[in-house]
Amino acid sequence: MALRPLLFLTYRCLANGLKRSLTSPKRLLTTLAIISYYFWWFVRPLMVTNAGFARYEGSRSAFPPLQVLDAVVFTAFAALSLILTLGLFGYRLAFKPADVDVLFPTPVNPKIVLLFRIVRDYFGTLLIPLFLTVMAWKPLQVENYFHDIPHPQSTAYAVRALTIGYVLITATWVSMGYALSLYVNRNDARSEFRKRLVGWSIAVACVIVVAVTIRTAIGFETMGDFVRYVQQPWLRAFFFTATPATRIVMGPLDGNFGEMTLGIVSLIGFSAACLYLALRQADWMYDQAAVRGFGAESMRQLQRKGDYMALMAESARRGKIKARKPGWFQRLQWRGFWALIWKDALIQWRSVRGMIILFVVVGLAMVVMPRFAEDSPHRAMGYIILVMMGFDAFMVATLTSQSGFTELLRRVDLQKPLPFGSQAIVMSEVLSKALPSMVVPVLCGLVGVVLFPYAWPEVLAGAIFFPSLGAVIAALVCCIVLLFPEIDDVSQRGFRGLIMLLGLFMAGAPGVGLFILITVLTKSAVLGSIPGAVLCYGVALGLSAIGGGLYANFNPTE
Amino acid sequence: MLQTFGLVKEFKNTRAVDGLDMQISPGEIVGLLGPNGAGKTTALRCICGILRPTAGSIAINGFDLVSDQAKAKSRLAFVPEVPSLYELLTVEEHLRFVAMCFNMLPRFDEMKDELLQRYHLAEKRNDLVATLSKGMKQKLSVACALIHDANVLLFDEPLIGVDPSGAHELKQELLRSKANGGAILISTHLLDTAEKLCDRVIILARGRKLTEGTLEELRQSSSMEGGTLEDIFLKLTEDGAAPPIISHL
Repeated sequence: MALRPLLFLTYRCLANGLKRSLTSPKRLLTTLAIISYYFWWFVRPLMVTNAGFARYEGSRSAFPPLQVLDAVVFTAFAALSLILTLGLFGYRLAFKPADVDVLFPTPVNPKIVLLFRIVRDYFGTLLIPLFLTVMAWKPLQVENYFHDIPHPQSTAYAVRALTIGYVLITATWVSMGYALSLYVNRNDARSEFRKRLVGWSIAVACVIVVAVTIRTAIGFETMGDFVRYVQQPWLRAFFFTATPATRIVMGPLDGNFGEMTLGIVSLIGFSAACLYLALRQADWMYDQAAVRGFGAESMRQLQRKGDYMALMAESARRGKIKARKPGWFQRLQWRGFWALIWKDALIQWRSVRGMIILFVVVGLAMVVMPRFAEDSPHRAMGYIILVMMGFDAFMVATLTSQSGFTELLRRVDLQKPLPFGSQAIVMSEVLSKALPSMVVPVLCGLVGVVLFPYAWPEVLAGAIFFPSLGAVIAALVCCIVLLFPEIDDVSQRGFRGLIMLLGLFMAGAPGVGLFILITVLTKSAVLGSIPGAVLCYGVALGLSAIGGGLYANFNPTE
Repeated sequence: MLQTFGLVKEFKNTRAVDGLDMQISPGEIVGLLGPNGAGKTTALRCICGILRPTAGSIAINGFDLVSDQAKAKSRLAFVPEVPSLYELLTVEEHLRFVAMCFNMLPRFDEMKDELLQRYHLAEKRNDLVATLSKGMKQKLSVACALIHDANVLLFDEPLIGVDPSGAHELKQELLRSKANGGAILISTHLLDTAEKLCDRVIILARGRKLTEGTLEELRQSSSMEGGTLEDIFLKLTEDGAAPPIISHL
């Protein structure tokens, strides 16, 4: 009975979300595009007949010895366990603000809410590989390859058992994660102590096991050494979830179905025990969800949306980003239109500074690298630097544009009343997003000229052309964001990503093409860069004008 | 009807609510006042079961909120300051969901039309919550609180962001609930509203209860004959209870 409202909520939200995605031609189109995309990449291959396997009968090979296979499978599951251990405390209780305000004050039992949430959010996700296994439940005929085992015909089942092992081992870790998360994240005086104690204990144990394994592995001379090490009881005990998962996979191969069943029962038992421990602490869940989960969920939502600026704003709210003492740039007194650029440059410096510095370092490294290829002819060296400048400009422009334009949508109520037209606002946004892509490659190019003075024509060409390419990228991303402005809409988000590449090609190709063509014809990159840059600036201007029109009509409440 | 004994809520290094004792009787409206960061919202969230108290106890209709959660919450309603609602449910579905949680579906089916009419939601009944304005969401949030015949009602800044007619209706609703024997706790910054609407007020600062009583009692205890609630509030919260930032200034 208590499940009824939760089932109703899930079903109605799903149904309404689906219905909503079909309400307008734009949404319908994007939904169809996404469905087609996933169908093409994930479902279609499964429908293709795999009769082709039979044609390879001539290339049969002996199956690796079972002990070796057992060691490899165990190692893989042990590695998976270690990876899952890393995220053990990360099982933030993913509740929405609406859950906190509407669901939590109701008399619905928190245990039911917790159980439902685990099943819905995590076990549902874990069923995806199982679903794919069911879809691929046709005979794979891998026995054609591996005939030297007790039950060649059951080889195909081992592949399926691998998926079952994966599903069960992950389910165990998820339940364990919930149980531990609820224990260590309690909001009381001892929560930090508990978190440190449990966290350090697990970390120290894992580091010791990994260190011992690496040290031992260095001395391995034969495959037998590896197999013997992996079969040691202490290692099998330490990776207590990898051991039964390995038995599940090996069962069909060595015919030991008793141990296979025991493996399945063990993992289900572990999951159930951890689930029981989690449910016993369900009363703490609301408290943690309201205090911590709220923030974690909002961060996760923002990450999912790719809303980098909002993510940074959230970090600032938590005190992780601090404004420093005013520097020369903050004291500048730019007025009018330039104030918009000033504001955006400040925001960008605070939010993507780390990544811009990273790209400067990468760009410098790329420019310095040819220094080690001293045999290259001078001319080729110049072009290598040019290409590297271009790559850097492209990366920086893509990063700053994709992370920043959602802020244009969000601040519409603040920016539109300013004494500027929509075109000017969009132009300022485009220009400021393109600014880092104008500065970074030029900076790298200057270092290039110092290292390779004979490469100055190509560096100059890069300094002329790439800033214009940065402007095209920024203007294009701005248009796409304004064309599909719903940050929360999954289908629009997906569609934005899909058409970004196509749009970048269509908008950038004319300028780049002209640059290359004239450079090839005149054998001078500088001559090629000027018309290329002019064309790019033209395209950027045109796209900004389109963006200005879209921004003028943009209404966030629609 | 609603009682808290030594209620304490601590976050890592902060004691947000510090030993709060209060009692609200049937047919009484009590205002919870205090400067920003006084612990009003935290106290309300503890009382409605969202936050787990670090110490102390909360009893609603005689049931302990921690040990007998379902019974304690069964006639409790909470209206948050900024209602976060399920955006992908329609207005009617949202109300239905809340009714299901409280096991009140038959009652909801009887009263839904009247409820939707009363809060001007009838025309929006099949619209997604995501499409509602802020004021309409506030109305929906209040409507959700009235589905299950709650006799303990908690309101966190209920009049912020509501238009005058909405505010008037809400006040009428509060008075109706009071007349029906409801115990109502309102956290608010609007001192004039609290003065007119509340039978008693509790003033918090830094998680502690500074004072409690009717306006007349507060006047006497603070030696401010003829003073308004605002005067008393300012005097009490300035006397060493102001947040550090204000003291600095």
